[in-house]
Amino acid sequence: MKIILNIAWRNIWRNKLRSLVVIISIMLGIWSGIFVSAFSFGLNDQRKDALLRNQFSHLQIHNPQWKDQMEVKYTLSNATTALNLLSAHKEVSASAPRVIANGMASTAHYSGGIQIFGVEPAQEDALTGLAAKIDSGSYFTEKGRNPILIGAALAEKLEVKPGSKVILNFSNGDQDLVSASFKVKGIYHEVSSTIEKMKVYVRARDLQQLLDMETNEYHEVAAYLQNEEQSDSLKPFLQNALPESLVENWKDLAPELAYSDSIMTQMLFIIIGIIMLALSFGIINTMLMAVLERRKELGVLMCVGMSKGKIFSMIILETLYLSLMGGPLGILLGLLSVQQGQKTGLSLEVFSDGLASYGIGTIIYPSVPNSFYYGTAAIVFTMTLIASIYPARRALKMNPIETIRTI
Amino acid sequence: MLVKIAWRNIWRNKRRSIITMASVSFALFFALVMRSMQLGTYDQAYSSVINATTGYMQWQGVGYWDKQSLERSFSPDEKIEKQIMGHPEVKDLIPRLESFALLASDNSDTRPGFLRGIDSEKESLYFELSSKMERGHLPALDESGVVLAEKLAENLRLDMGDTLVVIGQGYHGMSANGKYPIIGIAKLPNPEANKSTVFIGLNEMQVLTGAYGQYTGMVIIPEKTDQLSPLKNELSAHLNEESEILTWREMMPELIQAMEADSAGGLAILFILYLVIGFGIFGTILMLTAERKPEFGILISIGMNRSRLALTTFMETSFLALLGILSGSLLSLPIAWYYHLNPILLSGEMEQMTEEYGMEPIIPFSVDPSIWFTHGGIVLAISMILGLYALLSIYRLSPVKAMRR
Repeated sequence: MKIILNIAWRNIWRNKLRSLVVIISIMLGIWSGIFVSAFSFGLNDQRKDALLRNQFSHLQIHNPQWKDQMEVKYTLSNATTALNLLSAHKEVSASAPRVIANGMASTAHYSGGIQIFGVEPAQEDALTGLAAKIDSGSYFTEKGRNPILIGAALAEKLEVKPGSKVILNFSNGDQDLVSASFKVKGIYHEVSSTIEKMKVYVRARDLQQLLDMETNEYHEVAAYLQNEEQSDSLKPFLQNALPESLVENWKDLAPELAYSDSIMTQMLFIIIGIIMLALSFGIINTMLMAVLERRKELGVLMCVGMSKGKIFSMIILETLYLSLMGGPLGILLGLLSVQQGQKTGLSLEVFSDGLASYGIGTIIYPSVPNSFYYGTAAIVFTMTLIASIYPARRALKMNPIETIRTI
Repeated sequence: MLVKIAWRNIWRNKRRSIITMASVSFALFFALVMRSMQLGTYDQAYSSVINATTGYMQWQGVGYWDKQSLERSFSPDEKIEKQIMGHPEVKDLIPRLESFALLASDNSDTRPGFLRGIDSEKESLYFELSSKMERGHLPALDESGVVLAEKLAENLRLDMGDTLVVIGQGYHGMSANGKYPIIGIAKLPNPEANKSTVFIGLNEMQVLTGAYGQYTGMVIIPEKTDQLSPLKNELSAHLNEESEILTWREMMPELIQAMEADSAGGLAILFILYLVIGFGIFGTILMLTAERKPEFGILISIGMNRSRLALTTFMETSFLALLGILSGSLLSLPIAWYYHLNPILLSGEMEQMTEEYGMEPIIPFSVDPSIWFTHGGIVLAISMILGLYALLSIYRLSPVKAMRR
């Protein structure tokens, strides 16, 4: 066997240029395939992180009715218990309660539909990093009457800046309409332009007063965990402890988000497969030529007693050598370029508005789960093996006597 | 004569030629199907959003689009209106008056919604609005009644015959409050619109908001939808300083960018594919020239012109590519046609994902011939450039050395 390994190795270097073309094409194909995949993974991860950080968190607790109808009266009966439970748990990195109302914001220039979030300033900041997103003006303080934080996109439409007044209209749950004046404290920015237009933040206390709610009454408790997978185990635990509420993790809240991970992986494997399929045409062609131009030589080898099995494995080995050089080199280059990309990031300034409507920032950091490298390696190996069968069988079909008889 | 020789040369090594052709054909097939699907999806997304929201072109008060407030509505100058209508490429003008308002019902909390004051007849004529009615009928110009989008009606827990209370802000700071019976439910394909839209008669909307004679926009219906910029320039010449004309590209730059970003991703994958196939073709050309060196040597020494020989070889490689391109294009055509006529329906989680992006959950394919020409052309160009290698080696060939081998 060792001899065959040797012969096969030497054979591929008999026509250097041809072998190099195949090796380089495999290398480039795999490299670029991995890089494009890393880019897509990075894009997807960033979108997911942004959505989990800013919108869904990992766990949310509501009144069971809230899911169907977001109405003021469906408050959480045990928000304080839930918060205590969460803060006692070491897997929870931050949690915050919210009062939520749907309404309309208006100034003399514009009026539009919004969601009003009444938040506890310190806890909300810990959960979503809201304070750091303030562009102009400042974050909530204890002082001041009815402060409000408004997204940059909405502020532009309302033509407000810190210090301006905004009128909020919303129903108080008893079919009565509340109309209250708020003073813009700060303007926040968000990766997603949709969120900027939809969400305004006020202090929970102010909103509770306007809605005639108690100070420990909330609509939502959200928690961010150390690790997104912990939400699977924490969810039933919390549901047990809080039977009268509905506990949902991010997979329940945004199933398409959990789904996009697996669909992305599948699609990228298919793309690598297609690239590899295209490559295998080149591999088959090259190996077929390598066999056919050596008809005579192979005939002689058979005549002097080399078994068919050995010839078969020799051809297969030659093919494997080609891809075992090109494939790993491509994977290695992919790995290195992805690592470089993670350091510097890739700027997509040209598409910034479009990406913002998807909820993605402009700098993309490519990333690939390690399993993807293994998967790619497996695809390369299998596809090469399949591609090698045809030329190898071709070699076996030759009649040794006929081949040596020809000139 | 040369063509014949080139053609015969291809079939001297049938297997290799077929594999090379198959690789070209496969790459092109994949590229075409993918592009057809992508571009079809974009067309669909564009027209879905365009029809559901802005229309292809709008005549508006200056600055309305940025703020979208009633304060920036305009009352169209009759003379200009005539001039626009008189343009041969303008089919019609559809007036609209739109505004946000709070919607209240007896059965649920108040929620924000989008009031669209419309001319039902014209909207139905060009945007097939009447075909979207689930029940009831669209409001006439001054009928006191509203049509709710399906999802909105569900959220408000309202149905036909119930009363909708509208609380909003009117023109010049007036309050715009009203009570309307629900005379119909419409199912809108755009998910976002389906959650927020209320249709109301145009005149009734003017009464409600106090914006008498005012419009937030006049939708211009063009004869041709693909060349809007020249039309816009011609029409804009008639305007005074109070109004402007915007195309959908100007009104929705985000939509276009999002699609372009997606398209760029697809093109990156095709680039890789072409790269890989290019190497495959190069490999074939390499073998083709290497194994025929002695033959070339003989031909040159018995007096064949190098340029004619080069031309023959060049034709060979081009024929190979052309055959691959032809078969790839033909193979992809029926698939694209089939899915063009019967778009793929998404279901389950995929459906949710597309709705998240505000699109309908269907994937239609595009059969725009330019896709075929573009990608066929790219592949042909690649193989012709690679074919130059064969030419080079023929011109460099030393006949004596080549024959001695």
